[in-house]
Amino acid sequence: MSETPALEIEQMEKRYGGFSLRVNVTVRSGEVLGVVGPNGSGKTTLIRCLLGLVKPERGRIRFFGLDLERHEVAIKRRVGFILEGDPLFRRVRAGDVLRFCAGFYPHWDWDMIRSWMHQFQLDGSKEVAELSKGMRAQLGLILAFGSRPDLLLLDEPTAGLDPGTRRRFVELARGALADFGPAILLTSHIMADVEDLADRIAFLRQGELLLVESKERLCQNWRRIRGRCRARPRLDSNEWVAIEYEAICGEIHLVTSCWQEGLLDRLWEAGVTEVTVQRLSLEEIYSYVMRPPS
Amino acid sequence: MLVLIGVFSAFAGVMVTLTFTYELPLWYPLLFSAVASLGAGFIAPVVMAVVIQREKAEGSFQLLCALPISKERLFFGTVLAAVVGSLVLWLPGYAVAVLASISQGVGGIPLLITLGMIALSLSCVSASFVVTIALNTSSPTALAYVIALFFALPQLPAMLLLSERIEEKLHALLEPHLWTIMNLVLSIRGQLLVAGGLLLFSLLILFAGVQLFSSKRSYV
Repeated sequence: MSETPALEIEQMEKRYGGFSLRVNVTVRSGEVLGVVGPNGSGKTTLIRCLLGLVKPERGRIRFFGLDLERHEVAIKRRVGFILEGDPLFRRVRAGDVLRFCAGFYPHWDWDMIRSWMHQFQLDGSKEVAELSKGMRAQLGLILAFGSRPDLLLLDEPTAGLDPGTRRRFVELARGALADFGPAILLTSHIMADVEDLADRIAFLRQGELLLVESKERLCQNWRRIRGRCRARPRLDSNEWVAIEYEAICGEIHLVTSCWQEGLLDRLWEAGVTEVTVQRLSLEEIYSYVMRPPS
Repeated sequence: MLVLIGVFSAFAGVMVTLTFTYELPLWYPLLFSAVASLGAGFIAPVVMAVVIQREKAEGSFQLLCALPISKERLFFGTVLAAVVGSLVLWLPGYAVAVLASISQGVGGIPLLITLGMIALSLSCVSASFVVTIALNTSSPTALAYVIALFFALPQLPAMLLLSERIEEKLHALLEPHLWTIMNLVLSIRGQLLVAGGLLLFSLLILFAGVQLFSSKRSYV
């Protein structure tokens, strides 16, 4: 695997009126980075900036060590993509869309494409407009993976898909990762997609990257602790993401993003008893990270 | 576009048949050729502009921009497609005129050459202007206004001529040189000069257009 990162985004800023997207992140070769955030957080703008569809006001974007501004065409030959809403040529036959795009890529893999089309039962003689939403998404998927790219930029690839098609997408992406090991930057507001594929997760809210962390570390570091105490305990707010105390029943719920055994001692000292510790699901972590600051 | 080509080709076929079967006078196919050539020179780029706007509205234009193709190649490829489109459109009509001229003598051939050059130059000018505007604007309304203005501008001199004072002044200015001007316009050298001027104008539009297009901050 190459030492050069597949993608480096340095201090990138894109402004739209009052909205500002600021990103600073690296995707290593062969790594899957999931970017999650609610609608309007800037996920699609990020993908558009990376594909040169919109130009950021400042910052630097490098793919495989090459600057996007200067080597756009050479970079794009090694990058596959899915755009939000699968904007394909509606009046063109699916097979012709594939043939048209094939001309732009040096490593277009017709064998893989024929096999995937067979699996998806995708009729290449049908016009794109005649295909169902799921079929169009599958065609978009084939276009993205067909060139055996070194990096994939996938913008909400499973939005609006039924669970079966979504599962198939995950299986195919896993197959591609095992086959030719591309790096993937995947945006979604569906945590399950990201959970299935991502090595690292970036949380984006209102244009700001709040947290970029590996899936393992997220699962390791985030814990929910339940306990009992007579009065609201005095705790270091830096160690706790959420503290909810119910005075009537004396129950306390705490969430931490930096779990360590020493925290239990501090809770004990603060008068918290009957302590139970639970792991959080990524969905729960997402909701805590995205919670607006109080 | 294919429908237009089909209609023009069908007309061309009918004209060829009529010209040969009934030995029609030469001005019949020439008139048809003139209308078809000049019309197609304008129509093809407008059709292309409409297609570009439709692709922009449907989002597939961003797919095109995301492919590994430089913005300059995308721009010139689109302009070339518009020019080739208009050539394909006016070729049937032009073929009618050529065939009719050959069958009925060589008298009409210089006129045909003039007509061909005018149509080709106009195709280039209108294609470069209309496609430049279509690629650089995302608003169909703005595009419609600019195209309407572009086609209305050449009528301005004719409107000015309606004013008697201007006509008199122009008459007085041109009268001593009228023969020279007429001879120049009708000569191959003069036609080449005019065509060259129009092509140069197209190139200037294209140069400005590609600068604008490649420095755009958004292609969505």
